[in-house]
Amino acid sequence: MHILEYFGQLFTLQNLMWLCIGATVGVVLGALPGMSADTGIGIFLPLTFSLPPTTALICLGAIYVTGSYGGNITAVLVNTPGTSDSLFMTLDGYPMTLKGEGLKAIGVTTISAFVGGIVGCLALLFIAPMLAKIAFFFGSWELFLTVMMGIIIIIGLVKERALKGLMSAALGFLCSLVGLDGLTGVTRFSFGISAIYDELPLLPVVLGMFAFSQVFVLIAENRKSIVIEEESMKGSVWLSLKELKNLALETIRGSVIGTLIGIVPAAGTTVAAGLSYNLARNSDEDPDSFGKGNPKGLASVSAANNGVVGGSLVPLLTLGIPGNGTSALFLAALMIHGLAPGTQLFTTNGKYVYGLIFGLILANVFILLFGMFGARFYAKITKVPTSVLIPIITVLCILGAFSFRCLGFDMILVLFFGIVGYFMDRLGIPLAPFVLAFVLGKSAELNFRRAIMLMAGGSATSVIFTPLSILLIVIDVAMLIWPFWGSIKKLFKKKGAQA
Amino acid sequence: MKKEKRFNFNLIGCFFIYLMSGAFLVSCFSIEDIDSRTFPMILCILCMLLATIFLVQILKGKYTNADINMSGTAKALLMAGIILLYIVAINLVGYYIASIVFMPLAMLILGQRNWKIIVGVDVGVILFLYLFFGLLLSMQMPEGILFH
Amino acid sequence: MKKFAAMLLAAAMVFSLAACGAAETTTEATPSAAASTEGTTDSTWNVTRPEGLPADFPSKEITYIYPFGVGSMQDVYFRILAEKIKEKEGWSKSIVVKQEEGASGDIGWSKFIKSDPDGYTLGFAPTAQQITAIAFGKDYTAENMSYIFNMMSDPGAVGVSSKSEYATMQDLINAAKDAPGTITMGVTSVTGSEGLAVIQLENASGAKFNVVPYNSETEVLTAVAGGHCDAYCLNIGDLTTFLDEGSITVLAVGSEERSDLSPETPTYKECGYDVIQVNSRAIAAPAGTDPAIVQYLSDCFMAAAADPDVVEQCKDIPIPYDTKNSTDTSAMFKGYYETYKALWDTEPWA
Repeated sequence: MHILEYFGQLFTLQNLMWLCIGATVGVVLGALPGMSADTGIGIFLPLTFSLPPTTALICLGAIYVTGSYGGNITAVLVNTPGTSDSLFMTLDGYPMTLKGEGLKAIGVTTISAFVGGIVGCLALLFIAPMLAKIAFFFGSWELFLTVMMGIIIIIGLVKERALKGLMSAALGFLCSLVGLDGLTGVTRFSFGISAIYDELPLLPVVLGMFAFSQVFVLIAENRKSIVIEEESMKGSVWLSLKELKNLALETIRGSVIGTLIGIVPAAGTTVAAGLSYNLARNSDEDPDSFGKGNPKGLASVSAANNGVVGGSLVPLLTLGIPGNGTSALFLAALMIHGLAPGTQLFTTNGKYVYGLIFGLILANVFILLFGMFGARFYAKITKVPTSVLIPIITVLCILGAFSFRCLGFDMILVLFFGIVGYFMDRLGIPLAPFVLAFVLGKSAELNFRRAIMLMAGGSATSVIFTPLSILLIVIDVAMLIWPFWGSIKKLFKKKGAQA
Repeated sequence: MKKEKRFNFNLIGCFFIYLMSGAFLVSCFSIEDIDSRTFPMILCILCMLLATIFLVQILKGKYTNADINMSGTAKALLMAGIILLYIVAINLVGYYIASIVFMPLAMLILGQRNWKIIVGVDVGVILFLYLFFGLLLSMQMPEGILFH
Repeated sequence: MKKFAAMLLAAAMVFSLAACGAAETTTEATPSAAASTEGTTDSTWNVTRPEGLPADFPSKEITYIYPFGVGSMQDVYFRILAEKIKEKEGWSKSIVVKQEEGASGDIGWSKFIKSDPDGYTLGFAPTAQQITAIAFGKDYTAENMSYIFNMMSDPGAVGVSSKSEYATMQDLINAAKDAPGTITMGVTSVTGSEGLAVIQLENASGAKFNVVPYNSETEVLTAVAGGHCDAYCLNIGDLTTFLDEGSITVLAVGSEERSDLSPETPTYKECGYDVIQVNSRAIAAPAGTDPAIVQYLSDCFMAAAADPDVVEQCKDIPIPYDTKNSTDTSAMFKGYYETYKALWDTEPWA
């Protein structure tokens, strides 16, 4: 009954206040293009030095939770995702808004994000130490296979426009290789520009291609405002029981996927979102409705996105291994307050970590509050005339691009990729494969080559054929075949008929 | 009826892909380490192969301008040029000043004529940015060379 | 329109209230700090402003260029020291941390070395900076800088998983000698201090490792603990969590003398390999900075590091302290520069 005591400490004035501050900052930053939970945590880290450990962790945790949700709103309403993970939400969320179902879209994304977040927190609360051991099984080869899952998703996404999609992915892959080769110390493709010597920074590129390109699309389409109909906001943000039941499967599944992938160090939110989306689409009776405003697509991604929050903290708190970039910042926070990850954290230092976990749960409730009660207000954005919206988005995107590395060059980068994204959009070249390849490419290549380096040391078979890697290979192959299963079956039927 | 021979915009996409993968391929040759070079080279060649298949299919007529809508591109590019000037301005006079000037300019170009809205949004947004990012979060804002 | 303006105004007020509230609680939350500033006896703080120091120094903000991301222990430590100095010396201007990430530090360091040596620009100067400067022929070498203060020195460490068959450093090295290129050694950078240390160990022993770089220290340790990699070469400061968990062991450290953080572990030298691997992290100013300013800042940082409040605040952060003033720091880094230059001239690593 220890644990329930810890729950009580949440309700001091100081803790609640910092929870609110963190939650608000998180949502605002998450919604702003280019900024995310990372930005918020990075900024608040020094601010929390002088706070007591529990308060500091609660505040940062709240930023993480709501920061992962903030981008959902702009992705769904304005097609400008705040971060690379929310981009999957634009696939089905934005079409819903265009159809006039903007409020419903907010409702769907809010509720599923809430469920995803809670599932992640529950995993953290009840099975963290057990789950954390998983991270150790992942050597370079296993990580490569996991990242391959993400790449295979690309193939599933571009079935209809296969050629254009593959070209887009190839370009994205090449762009991901720009920069320092981790294994040899050599710089590739920097074309003499010192700002991209290390890497082509993720944020400005993704921001440019997805958010900023929207600016140009809106200008070209000469649209007065995002939603054209008079009574644009039909329906309500509160989903009916029937609608909830309809989405339940995708939401729960997305939550679990998000949590599990969050635990695996290399994968990250984008893979979780993509995987969840793909799974939802391929197992639905009507896969073609995805991408045109099917709430199931939106729900599955939103749930996965927030599931990653809890998942990524599992290996971090138990082993000190960050599940993704944002949780790595948490490591710094722990260190500053003299808390070391590990079993000690859950026993002698239990009160801090359980304070954090309960704080996370409460922050998820904030998501519900922000989303459901603020929906009507946010939805008004779609009615704001583009002549006002576009300059605002521009100013924010430029700032967001800068804030990533505090480099002026990144502002030019975001503009450049905004134009590229615009042209790709207009020419029918799909953007999602580019982004997926861009996010995952380097990691895939690196882990593959590293696996080969490790094989040179010992026996190749002991590296390639571990139980985990065999499992992953099976999953990868299955995912590769699945989208084409229908056509393969037809092929066999034909041959059967002929014989 | 005369059938106008219109430029197939897909060729722009094709050209761009050739350009990108070509540039990367050329850059590959200046990478000394063979381990670093191998995979990117394969990727570049693959990409150019795909672009060639694309080209062939365009010429065969498989890809047309049917789904492509390039109207308004001129206006979009004009705006892009203005944004470029804005970025240059940021590097000269700093983020706040550049933004205060850019926003009304952009709104006017996009057709906004209501002065109250223009001034209101300009002041409001800059105020918000200053309070939220400058004061509350004390974030590093882009600085200009001329002013600090 | 009116509603819009009203809402913005309201939001602005809320934010400023929150900011005030935040500032207040921050000072409230540290009762120990507040109490000690009230009745400062200042018996431990004895910094005198040297002759020749401009009376109004600092008359504007001092910029500290830190070319990496937030959250590392040197970042945290520096901020604590800087605040303490401002408080005790009664400065009206602060030392502001300016992050300029990119090109593994090159962008920030290049800017730093080109800046005006007027005493208002400082920079983060770790051993890694010298390694990069030598390898790429950059200007930010030890002779072009005035070192002010050394914060910490993180000794190198070589180790294996706790389930490993190698019990001593010699066991590991001999295995690498007997079967060259088959023992995998995880590092974070082949061209960084760790990779170079491995090269030096190989030169000193005739062993040959299969050096495999990973993206971060945690990745290396996870791989070693999970059995995917045989050994690691990192810094002691990176090991704490995994050591506590018991999943890894340290076989040897790279400092001149044994480290306080792991007193039973022998040094590389004690094991018979004449190699030093230490990652020192210092603060410097461009060469040509007024010596009076350098002396003053050096004294300030030395005093701050010894200040009881600072010691208390940092007691749980595993900082491998190695407080050195400007003269000692300069000597130390010139030494590092010579060592790596010598290695580069015989066996360039890039």
